[in-house]
Amino acid sequence: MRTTADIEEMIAGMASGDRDAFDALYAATSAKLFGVCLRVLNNRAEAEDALQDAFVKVWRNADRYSANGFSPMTWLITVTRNTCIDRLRARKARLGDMDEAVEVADAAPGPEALAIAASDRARIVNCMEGLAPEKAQAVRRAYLEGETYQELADVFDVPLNTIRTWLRRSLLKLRECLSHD
Amino acid sequence: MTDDIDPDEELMLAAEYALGLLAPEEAAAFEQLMARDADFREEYEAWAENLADLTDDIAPVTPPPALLNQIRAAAFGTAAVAAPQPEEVEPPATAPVFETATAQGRGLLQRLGLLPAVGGGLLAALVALWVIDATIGPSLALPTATATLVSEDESLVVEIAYTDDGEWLEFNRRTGRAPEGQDLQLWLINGDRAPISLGVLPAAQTGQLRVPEDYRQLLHGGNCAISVEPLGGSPTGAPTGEVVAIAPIVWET
Repeated sequence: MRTTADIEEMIAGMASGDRDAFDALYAATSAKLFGVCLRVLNNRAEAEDALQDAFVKVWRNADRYSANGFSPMTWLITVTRNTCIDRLRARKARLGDMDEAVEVADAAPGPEALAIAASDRARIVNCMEGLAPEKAQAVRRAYLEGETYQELADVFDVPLNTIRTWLRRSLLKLRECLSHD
Repeated sequence: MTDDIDPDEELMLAAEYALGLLAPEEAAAFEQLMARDADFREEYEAWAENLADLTDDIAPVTPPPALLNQIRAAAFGTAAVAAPQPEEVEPPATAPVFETATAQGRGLLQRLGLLPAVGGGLLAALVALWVIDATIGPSLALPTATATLVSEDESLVVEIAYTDDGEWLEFNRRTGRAPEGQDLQLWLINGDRAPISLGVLPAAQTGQLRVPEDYRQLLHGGNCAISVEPLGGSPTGAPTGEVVAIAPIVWET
């Protein structure tokens, strides 16, 4: 298991063009990031393409990493997640909304999350428990499935204006919980 | 539930931006807000950190071994495709290394290394720019900058090109026009500065806009945006209408 400092060092190496550092970062993080791609895209070929796009972006932007305020794993996960969401949305745009109905029950926490002791879970996971289940699910769906307000409104069968108010309130509540120590 | 605390609308934009819930023009506006105000940037960063933890329960899956070489080829611009050696570990020693000299951008998006999850057309354009940027060799004499601005529904596509040290920025309106009775205005956005007008886009399909000398340097690391404005352009000197397209300015050296 690599530490945060190890990963930062690899990114710094990549910033100066060190390809060995790229390989080291890939070895240390690609399984996690590929898992994210598979989770978001639910399609192996697309997940491989997305992982490639994400690592190319990371390589090309490594010299700018130190200027952003992210911890290294957050940066890698965010780049990967955004890349996957973009692909997912492009796919949805191609297919229309045909696949909408089959996706519904997908965003609940996996069995792994339930197995992690509450004390070791990320704060956001605990804070999500303070939300009504459908609101926690809406946040997960937005983050992990890239759902738009319109899609969330359709899934939860509420008007578009309502969903935004509804989700903003949930996010505000989440923010209050997250900022408590 | 009428006694809920009234959400701080602007602050909640950071969460919505991190979740990719904002429309492209809202996302672009929020990026400008972040560029000007560190509080919003920090708010976004805090959300991104917390939301990334939602992936904690996602089990790692080792990608297929052959993928690394393919990714290396894409990242380093080397021709690994010509000699597929899936298990190869060392990168080719003689490969050119020009790719690290490209993309001197310092715009917010590029600084963050992030492209927001926004609508398809704009993203397709951004992806296309990545590809172009990754495949151009170091053969051109003068650095040339390009940007392709695409509105969300792809009804407006404007390409711009600029050669370093030149006075004129060329535009090519591939498709689309201003709404009846309005004009399209081109803006240069760079870091913390207020958007700088590059002028109203003439109705012609192609043409040139003069870039004042003081602003030429800002094309490095900047973004271009197009807003819909009253006839003759924004009366205030800042964008007043909807920002319909935004794209990074990409330098090819």
